[in-house]
Amino acid sequence: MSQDLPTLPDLLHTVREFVDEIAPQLDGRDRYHALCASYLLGIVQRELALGPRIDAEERSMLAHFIGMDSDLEHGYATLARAIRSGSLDERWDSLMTLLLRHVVNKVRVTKPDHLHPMHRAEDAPGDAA
Amino acid sequence: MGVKESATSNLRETIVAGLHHAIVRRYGEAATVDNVVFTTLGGSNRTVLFDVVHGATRQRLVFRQETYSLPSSPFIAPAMQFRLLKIVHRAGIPVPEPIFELDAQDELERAYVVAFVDGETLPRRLLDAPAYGRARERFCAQAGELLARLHAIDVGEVGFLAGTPDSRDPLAAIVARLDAWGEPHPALELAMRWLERHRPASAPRRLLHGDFRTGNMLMDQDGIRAVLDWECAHLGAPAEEMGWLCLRSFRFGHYDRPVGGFGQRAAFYSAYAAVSGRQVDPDEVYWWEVFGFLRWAQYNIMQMHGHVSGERRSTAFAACGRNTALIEYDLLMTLLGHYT
Repeated sequence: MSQDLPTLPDLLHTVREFVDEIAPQLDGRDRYHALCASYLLGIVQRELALGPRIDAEERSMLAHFIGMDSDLEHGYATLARAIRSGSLDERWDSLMTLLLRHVVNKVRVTKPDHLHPMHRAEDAPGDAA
Repeated sequence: MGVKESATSNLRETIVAGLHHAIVRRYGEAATVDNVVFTTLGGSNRTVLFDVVHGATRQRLVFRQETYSLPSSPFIAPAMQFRLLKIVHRAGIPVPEPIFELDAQDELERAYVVAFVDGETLPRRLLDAPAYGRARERFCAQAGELLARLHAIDVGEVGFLAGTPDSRDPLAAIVARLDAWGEPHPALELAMRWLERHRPASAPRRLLHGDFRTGNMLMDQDGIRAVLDWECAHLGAPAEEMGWLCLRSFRFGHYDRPVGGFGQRAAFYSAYAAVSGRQVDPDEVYWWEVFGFLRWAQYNIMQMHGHVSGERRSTAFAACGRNTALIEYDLLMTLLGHYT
């Protein structure tokens, strides 16, 4: 790491703590946007912590399912087209399993509390800092 | 770059000046605008509360202006909203009384003004505060009756809605918008595919509010006072309206009370059947709930698109983009039978 301390997760944690501290002192519109800002910072924290592992898992899942190795964006677009064309209708259950895992991976970053307990266990709770 | 939604003081001054101009045109030179409040929420329309003071009269009014006008907008134009409000108001549906529409000679465009109705819209308060206990108990019966009366309006009166994409084929309309925004969503593709393969028999088309859910109903301790936010109105199957009201996304934590977080389906369906004379088919409502997740995801993606394109940037719209995943999750858990 070329930069001095604090670390990136520490900086994010610091900013988020400040936003959380001032949010209750604000009114109406400003308070609402401060709460949203804190929520966005939480997403950034989790994406920094989990993103690389999730991306690797998603790449391998996609490669296994649609039999091609490519960048994620291209893989999702290919999968989306295949679903629409009906060519995956015969593999509906395994498609459903794949997509549930894919969506759980997104929710783990966006808002892990939203997950049903059956999908919650793997990530330790708490901030990344 | 469009207008930044965190209403700058510049924008506020422009709107207040424009309101004053519009009021003087209609109420006379001596009329004034007072007590202006810019509200926080409103995903599609800008909402500004104000008093018009003319002579000895003071009336609280609400200014509603379109903020999302890209060609892919799923909302009907303000002129159509205003026309519709007059029709449903005349039919005795509880809505804010339409007062006037802004026109080409006003400084503010694509907007209209309605009477202010006092009450609560915040889901958490309506669903949790002790003060609304009675309103909660009455909700299913009231909502069923209200929708039955709305769906009884002669569709000939609202023929101007018949040509909108959501009136013609709501599923095709969503697919077209998602394609225009361009972000691949395999989970939503799965929903589209499921919906295509399980389409219900076509039902007689009625006037639908289109966004009848907790958060868009203004309530007091006795129940529903006014139905707000008519920008999604279209013609369609009555079960679409029921699926939307029962969508898990609008239960606000009260997952055991599927009707908007207020109550049980049986009470709602029987109230609707008693007034309309038509039984509700739960399987058809289920199809529309799956559709509802797709539709709700579409609105979140729309807000994301408005944000990243620069049309209207905000912390909330940025969050909407990421929240699409939460809707996809509820959708898959519903299709798998884990959620009901």
